Amino acid sequence: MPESLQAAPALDLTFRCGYRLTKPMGGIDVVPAEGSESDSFRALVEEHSPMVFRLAFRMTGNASDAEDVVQETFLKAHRSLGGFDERARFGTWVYRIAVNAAIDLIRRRGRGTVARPAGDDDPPVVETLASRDPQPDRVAMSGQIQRDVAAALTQLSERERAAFVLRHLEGMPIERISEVLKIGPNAVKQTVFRAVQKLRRELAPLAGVA
Amino acid sequence: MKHVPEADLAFYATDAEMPDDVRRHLADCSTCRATRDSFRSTIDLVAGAERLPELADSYGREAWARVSGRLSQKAAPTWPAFFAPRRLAFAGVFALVLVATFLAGRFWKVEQPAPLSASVRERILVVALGEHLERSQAVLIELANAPSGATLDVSDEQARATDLVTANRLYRQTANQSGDRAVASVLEELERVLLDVAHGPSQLSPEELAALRQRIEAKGVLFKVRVIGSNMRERGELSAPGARERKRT
Repeated sequence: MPESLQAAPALDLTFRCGYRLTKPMGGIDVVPAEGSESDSFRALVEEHSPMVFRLAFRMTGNASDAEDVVQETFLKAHRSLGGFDERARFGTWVYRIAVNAAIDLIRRRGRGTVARPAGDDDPPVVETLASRDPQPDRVAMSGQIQRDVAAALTQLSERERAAFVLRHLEGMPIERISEVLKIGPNAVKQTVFRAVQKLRRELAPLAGVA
Repeated sequence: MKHVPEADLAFYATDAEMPDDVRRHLADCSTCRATRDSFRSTIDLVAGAERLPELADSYGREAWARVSGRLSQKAAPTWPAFFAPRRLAFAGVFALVLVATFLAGRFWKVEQPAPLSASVRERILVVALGEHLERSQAVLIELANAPSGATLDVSDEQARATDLVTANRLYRQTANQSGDRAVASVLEELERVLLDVAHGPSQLSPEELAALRQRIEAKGVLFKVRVIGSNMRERGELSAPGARERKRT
């Protein structure tokens, strides 16, 4: 067991597959346990599922697909816990599984279907705009912006979308993106760059509107 | 003055974790600053148009309820699945083997038990091997058709391949002993691929996946497994009691 984890106060939780949870530096992590069995996988799901949902929603563009990704991610994580590298952060590992699950789902659905149209049951779109004054023309404009942004996002490849989301929406540092996507730091930068360029090109007509 | 690469400007456009040298350069270079600002306005536009659903505090518990429900479903197979014809065939073969073993032990000292007839032995092997090939084929098809272009988690296929390797070795040895060279040869090639999957990384990069696919496709393993599996099924059906009579009619 790594020294840093040994020193950390460990929760008394153990997976049935033989992993123990520790909580060093405020982030949950996993190290091999010595035998006992319990259902502590629950702690990991409860801790990480909101983060996985947020990432999945940003990748897939709708709540129902995001929920599918959440479930698929943790089912896969449960199946693969035996292969989890104890030196890795559990969060990063789950992120990787979630990104792959989201990519798989996007491919199954077809890239063009990923969008965030402003439906009737959606929350008021004006909240996200700079102005707090919901004039009808402004509401219409914000809906148009959302549709255009959603359409622009569909122009990105799955990996570009993942890299863009991880960097500019999740605010992840380059090392973690590199771990999650399993590509080198330079490839991460290039992928984010391609994504930003495509978005800039697609959204050029909106420049200055928002 | 050497400008900051555009990829760096796009990556650090929002200033988060911006390296000091980039920050210093931006302070002095209006060209790079303008490029960075342009990238940033695009990113702000996308981020501003986003509407994340607000999750309740209970979301983690609800997610666990859904995940644990599916975990328990997987752990406990339903009765209809248990009674699937293939499983019943296996159960029959296992029951036959168990009864034969029990009788052999029970009457060993009294008199030598009648050995299983060659046709029964063949049927047991044929049914079991057919099932084995079917399961192997499923793993190979999943890998051959897996989406490429991103890192792929194959831990599930890996676990199944590990199980299949042991069984494959036994079937290969049996085929060798019984002189069935064609089956033994295909099983040998299959074993190599299964070993590759079982001992390889559980997360495959697009390049690793392509290499694995090439190994599967290079010698036509999947095709051969499919052909031999189909032969096994046919032999299994023909060797079933009464099958020849049914076939004639």
